Order: sequence, then C-alpha cells, then structure tokens
Amino acid sequence: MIDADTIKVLLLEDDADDHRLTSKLLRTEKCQFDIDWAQTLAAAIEKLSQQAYDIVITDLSVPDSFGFETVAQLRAHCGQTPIIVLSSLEDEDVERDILLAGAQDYLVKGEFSKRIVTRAILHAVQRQQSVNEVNALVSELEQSQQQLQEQSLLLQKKNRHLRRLYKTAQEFVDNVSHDFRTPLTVIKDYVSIIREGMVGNVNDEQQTMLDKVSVRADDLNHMVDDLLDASKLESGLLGAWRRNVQMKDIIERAESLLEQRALVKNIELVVECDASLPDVYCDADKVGRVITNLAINAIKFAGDQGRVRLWAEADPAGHQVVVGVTDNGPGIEKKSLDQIFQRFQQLNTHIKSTVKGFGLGLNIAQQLCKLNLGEMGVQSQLGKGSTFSFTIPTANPSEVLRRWLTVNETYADSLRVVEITVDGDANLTSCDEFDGFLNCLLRCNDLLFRTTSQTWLLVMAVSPYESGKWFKRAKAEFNKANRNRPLGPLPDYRAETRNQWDAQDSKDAILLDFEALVQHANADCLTNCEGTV
Amino acid sequence: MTTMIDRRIQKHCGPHAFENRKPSILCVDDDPDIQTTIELRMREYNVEIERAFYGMQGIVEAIKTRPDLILMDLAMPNGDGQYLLDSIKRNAATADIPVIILTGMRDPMLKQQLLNAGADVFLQKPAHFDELLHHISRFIDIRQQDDDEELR
Repeated sequence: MIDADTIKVLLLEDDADDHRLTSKLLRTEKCQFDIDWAQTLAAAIEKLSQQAYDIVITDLSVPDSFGFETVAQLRAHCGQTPIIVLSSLEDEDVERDILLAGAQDYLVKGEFSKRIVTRAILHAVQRQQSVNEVNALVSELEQSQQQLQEQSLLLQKKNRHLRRLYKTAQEFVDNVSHDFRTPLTVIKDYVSIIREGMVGNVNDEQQTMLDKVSVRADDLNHMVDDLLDASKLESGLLGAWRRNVQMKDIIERAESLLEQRALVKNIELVVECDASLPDVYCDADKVGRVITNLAINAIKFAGDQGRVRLWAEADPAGHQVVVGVTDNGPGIEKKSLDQIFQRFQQLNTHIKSTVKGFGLGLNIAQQLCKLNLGEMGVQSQLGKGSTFSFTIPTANPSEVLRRWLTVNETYADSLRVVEITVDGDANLTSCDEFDGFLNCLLRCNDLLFRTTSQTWLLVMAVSPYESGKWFKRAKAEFNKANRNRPLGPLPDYRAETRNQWDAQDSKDAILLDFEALVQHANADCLTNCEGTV
Repeated sequence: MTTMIDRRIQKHCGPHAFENRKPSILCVDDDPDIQTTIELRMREYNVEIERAFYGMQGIVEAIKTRPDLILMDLAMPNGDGQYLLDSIKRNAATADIPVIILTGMRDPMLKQQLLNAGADVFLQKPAHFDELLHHISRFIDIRQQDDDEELR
C-alpha cells in the first residue's frame, strides 16, 4: 500500500531525550523512516509548509502549544497527512478530544514497543491513504454530478429554445398558408359567382374563360399546399394523423375537386371505387392530396379528348388497398420512367429536386404515401398512357405496425403499447367523443388503434421518462377538456402500459407480442358482447 | 331553452309553422369580400344573413339575434374563432346553435380540436359552395325564394 520505501516523518517533540527515544524505536529493518525534528509548533508548521510528509508524530505539550490544540493546529496545516499523538498523559477524555481534533491514533509514552509504533504508523499512513482516495472519489463524483446538473439545465434550455423555434416555424408556415388562401378564396368565389350568371348574363366565351380562371386559381391553391407540404416535409414538421377511414369517402371528396378541372380540359373523368373495399388506416387529408396531385398530373397529360380513370382495388394478400390514376395520354419515355421509378425506390429523396416536367407534385405525392405507410408505383406505355398508383395498408393493426416498424427502423427510444379503456357503461356517442379526444392527444407518428368501441391500443416510440410525461399530459388535457366542455364530461378512462420493447428487440418479436395484444383485445370484446346479449 | 325547443319544432314543422320566420345565419369573418360572396350565394335561398367581422362582435350578435346557424372563420382580430366557439358553446343560450367552421388554416390537428370543442362541420377555404350548401341544409331549412313564393 505504501509505495515509497522511505516514510517521511515529522516529529514534533520539545524534549531531546524523547526525540532520541522515538528515533530509536523507529529504526527497524522493515521500513526506512526519515525523521525530521521540530521542537516547536511554529517550527513544525514551517516545515509542513515547505515539504510533504507521510506522517506527523507529535507530543501534546510543546513550548508554544498545549493539549489537543496542538493537534488541531497541525491538522489545519498538514492537509491530508495523518497525525499520531505521543503523550505521557493517559486520560480517556483527552484521548477522545485528540481523535476528534483530527489525529489518527494516540500512543502513551513508555507503553509501546518498537513493533507497535511501527505498525501504528504504517496503519495510520495506510488509513489516511484510503481516506484520501475516498475523498478524491467523492469530490470527483460531486463534480461530475454538478456537471450533469449543469448539462441537464443547458439541455432543458436548449429544448425550450427548440420548442419555441418549432412553434414559430410552424406558426409561420401556417400563417403564410392562411394569408395566401384568403385572397385566393375571394378570387375563386367571385369568379364562380360571375360564371354562374348570378350577377348578370355571361356569354359562352366569357364562361370558358372564367372556368379557366377558376381552375388556375385552384392550381395556385394546390401550389400553396405543395410548397407548404414540401417545406414541412423537409424540416420534418409534417406528421401523419392516421386512423381508420373508408377509401370511398376520400375518393368522393377528391372527385368533387377534380370534376370542374376535367370538364374545363374536356377530359372524361371516370371514378371506379367499390363500396365493399376494406377500411384503410391512413391520414385521409394526405391521401386526398396524393390523389389530387396524381389526377391533376394525369388531366394535364391526357391531352384533348382524354380519359382519366381514378380507381381503387383491394389487395387482400398484401393487406392493402391500391389506388391508381390511369390516363390515355402520350405515356412516359423509358428514360424519364426509369428516373421516376428510381426516385420511388429511394428512401429519402430530396423534395425540391424534381424530375423535369413533373413538378413538385409527384415528389410530394410520393413522400405523403410514405407517411401513410404505402408505396408508389408507375407504369407507362408510350402512345397508350400511364398509370400512377399507390398502396395504403388496410386497417389491420399488426400490418400497420409492421409497416411502421419498417419505415421507422431507427426509432431511438423504446417502443411501448398503452391500452386505454373507458368505463364499461359509457354509451357509444361518448366513446366516439373520447375517440376524438384521444386523436387530439396523438403526437405525430404515434399509432392509435380502436380495437373495440371502448378500447384503444396506442403505440408510441418514447423513452420511459417521456411516456410518464404523456400520461400526465393526457390526464391534464382530460381534466381541461371536461372543465369547459359544453357537451357534458367525457367518460372516465384507464391507461396502462401493456408492453414495451427497446431498440434491441427484433421486429418479429415485437410484432408477435403486439399481435397477441390485439387478439386479446378482440377476445375481450367478444366475451363482453356475448355478456350483454 | 326556448330557442332549443323552437328550433326543434321548426325543424320538424318547417319554417311555416313560425309565420314564415326566415332561418338566419350569422356569418363571422373579418374579410368583407368573403361575407359578400356568401351573401350573394345565399341570396336565392330564403335565408337571412347577419354579419359580424370579429370574434367579440360574433359573440354579441349570437346572443342578440340567436341565429339558426353560425358560419365562422378562425383567424380574426379581436377574439379568434376558437374563442368565439368556446364562448358560444359555454353560454347556455347559444350552446345549441350549430357551428360551421370555414378556414384557410391547414393544421391537421385543428379540425379534430374544433370538432372536439363542439363545432359541427370543419371546411377548408376555398370550399366548394355545393359542399357548404349541403352542410348548411343539414341544420336549417333552406328553400329557394321562388319555391316559397309558389307555396304562398
């Protein structure tokens, strides 16, 4: 333990005989002691300030100090060097005071042998070394703890700053979009009021022109949408709020937006959508945007007397619905087609670099498809026409999660499933309202599945710390919603974490666990339903 | 409370049960041009249009005139649409008036939030007039002016 061969001793002793005696005691074969002698406390302190000792051995009564005061003084000046007291006094009170003042040991003169002294010294030195090591570790720990605290504060500050920036960016984007759209709305409304002859007769030529103005105003509106989506996609601000929807609803809405455009361009727009299609799980607005983007392109390329077919088909084997837009335009040259196709294959394409002639719309459509856990494809034959199509998963929780895991391969934190249940006696309307509330709570990229009318499975990629925050936020929002709710309070709910996985768990294992949870929820539903019947 | 019953009776019996009281729509939008387009559009229907140009005015008008339907924008000075909606829904006298939101905002959460707060319909500008009309007709009896005359 004691690394140096020689132990440097400072001996404070006013009596020359005692000095000689002690020196003699310390002359052993085992260790080499190098003794430095001071006769007064002042001299000892002087020596301590000049060099380091391994140990201080001291008498209690020296000419300039007396009793445990000597020890206290030495302690104050010798830093971490151990102190052993040699005294002719034998008194338990004195002994306690001395140890309290900072001495390691107390030896009574004339009572000890050579061996005892040597051992006492060696042990004192060793003990002090351990104490020093522990102290060093403690202070190191304290330091790193302080550093951690400082860093955590800094991180909190930075996070606040980032949140502010995020909010400002989003607000800016939203405000710009709003400010663009207001005049566009007025233009479009006035044009159609004039066109419909509500404020005076309009001749055919004027009507055709007004139609074009209207469609062009729509173009501008779509461009605003595209630019906003592009900027949000680029900055990662565009999230998807996915839920169960009927494809037919989305297509009918898109159709109403496309009718006039097709009419103006003299294009026959055919919509083929089977009402028996299974529900899909997607962000309906975004799917609507993809359809409009593809159809606008198709109408543009179909040429005069063209025909554009908007269709949707089920693909049960792939657990998906395929939506496509087919035109009878000139088709796409092999070179461009390859280019487009390559883009579809790439995982992360740069939004703003476009395939020439296809504008931003196609890129955005592709990105929006990815957000909806689907893929885009293109087929074309020169002279015959082109088909752009995309897939959307059906509302099958396991399938949706499988696709989500493929897209979000690098979810940094742990993944967890929370089961949310509302009270058994809540009626369907209030359950639906609660569903709306849950959807408001959803963070972008969370997955929410309504497994029965009153149970939901929520999949989130969060650290345990954040998930605690989610539960708190949910409760706070719930209370807030109930406070100023005109329609009466929402039904009470329970939220429990059913399973969690970390980044090491394999995709298959996660899916297997999840499938079991879904089955369990479905089985519960069945027994409950039977119970009520 | 009376208005709620009135409105129910009215809905079941048609406006004639109430001495031809025209259904009224309160239109709250800070853009007078948008107000005008709606007014022009609705001219051929037997509907009264009231105007308000900012949120606070909307609250006052809603209480004063008790319209049968409120059509509102969101981004407005002096009391935005969200505030207006909350106030209307929290006041027992106006809570049962159906609300259609018509906005240029595109925040995907917004729709859910407002529907949750008691709005009945959420439409984005520029809205298709037919779509707007369809939703209006869900809440009030709109018939064209000349139909009405014929009936008389």
